[in-house]
Amino acid sequence: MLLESITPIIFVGGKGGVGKTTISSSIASKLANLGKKTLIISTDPAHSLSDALNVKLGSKIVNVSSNLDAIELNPDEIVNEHFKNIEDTLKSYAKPEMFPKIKEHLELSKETPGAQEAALLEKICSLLVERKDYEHIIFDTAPTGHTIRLLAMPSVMSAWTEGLMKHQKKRDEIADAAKVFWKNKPEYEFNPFAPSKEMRWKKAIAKLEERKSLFLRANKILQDINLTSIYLVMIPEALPLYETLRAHETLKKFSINVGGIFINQIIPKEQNSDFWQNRVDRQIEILSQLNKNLPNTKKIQVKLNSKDLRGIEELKNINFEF
Amino acid sequence: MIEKIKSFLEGLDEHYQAPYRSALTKSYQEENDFFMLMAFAESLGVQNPASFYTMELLPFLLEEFHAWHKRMGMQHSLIEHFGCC
Repeated sequence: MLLESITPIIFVGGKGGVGKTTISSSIASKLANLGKKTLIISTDPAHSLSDALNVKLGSKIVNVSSNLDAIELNPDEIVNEHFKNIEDTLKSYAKPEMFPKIKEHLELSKETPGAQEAALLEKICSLLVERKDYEHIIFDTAPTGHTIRLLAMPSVMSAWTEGLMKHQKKRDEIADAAKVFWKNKPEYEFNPFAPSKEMRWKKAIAKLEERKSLFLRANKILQDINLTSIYLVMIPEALPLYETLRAHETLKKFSINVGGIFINQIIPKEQNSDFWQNRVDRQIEILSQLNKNLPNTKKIQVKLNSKDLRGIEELKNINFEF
Repeated sequence: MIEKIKSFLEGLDEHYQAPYRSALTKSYQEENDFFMLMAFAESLGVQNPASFYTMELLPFLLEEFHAWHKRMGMQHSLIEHFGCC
């Protein structure tokens, strides 16, 4: 059975509109029902988790039922928080007359492309690293492209900071050699080793170190088969199939473990109209293609339901067929 | 007399040390400049995956930033709206 052996961290990804939120909140409800403390996090800027769980959610963790908590990450809020922190730090360093200028600059920086993504990434990494007492954390993610980028980011970022740090080492060696000759000139105005300057460099480097270690730890967790797996959701149609196959390929590249593929909205085989019979034939065709391409990946089928499934009670009763 | 000898010795010291000090300080500064370039590449229009994160180094490197763009031969701050000068 899937749920007994499922990893502590679960990402649910796939093309837009295939039912990621329904599947992820169904997994979460089932786990909570088994008595495991579970947190479900929506990272899609267009949140639909509230709608699926039928509970009003926000950017603070909300308790949904016993053992189940949920949160919808709000990138705008996270960005604002990040810049608020920078602003506070600046206040203690900058000359007061520079302040309006700096504020203006920070305001504009909030709009830079990638700022929201970066903010979201950081938040996700923090959540991954401090799991608190949750046995399972489930990410209901944005459509595939965003998610894959997000999962690749920690390794890119840690490589970048790594490079910078290496360079710091060299810089320190040179600094040590140069300092000897500055010994007799401590109060010279342009002394690059004046204590206040040194102090600032140290602080800046410490900040970077902090970042690097966060990304490295998150990356370790993401690539650990025993900790993290991603489940791809698709419906039995051509486009979602191709997207799933591509996503599977890409995830392999980033050594992220694909736990299985959910095929959602399966229609029953017995149909009495030609239209629906054609659909069934098409479905069989798609499923066989999927099996041919990914023979060793676990596949979980979920039947198409005649009504909308919302709320914990209904979600936890969704049937996963293997 | 002792004073004179002392200051002569100091001058001698300086005479031998100054070239080394300037050379080493220069290469230290070059290293710093490279760091600044990496951290604030975005301000020169170079794509930087980490610009959102290097932003928070700015508070610590404000003065450094000003000295840097001056050394790089740019009279004015290269971050628009960011007037260190």
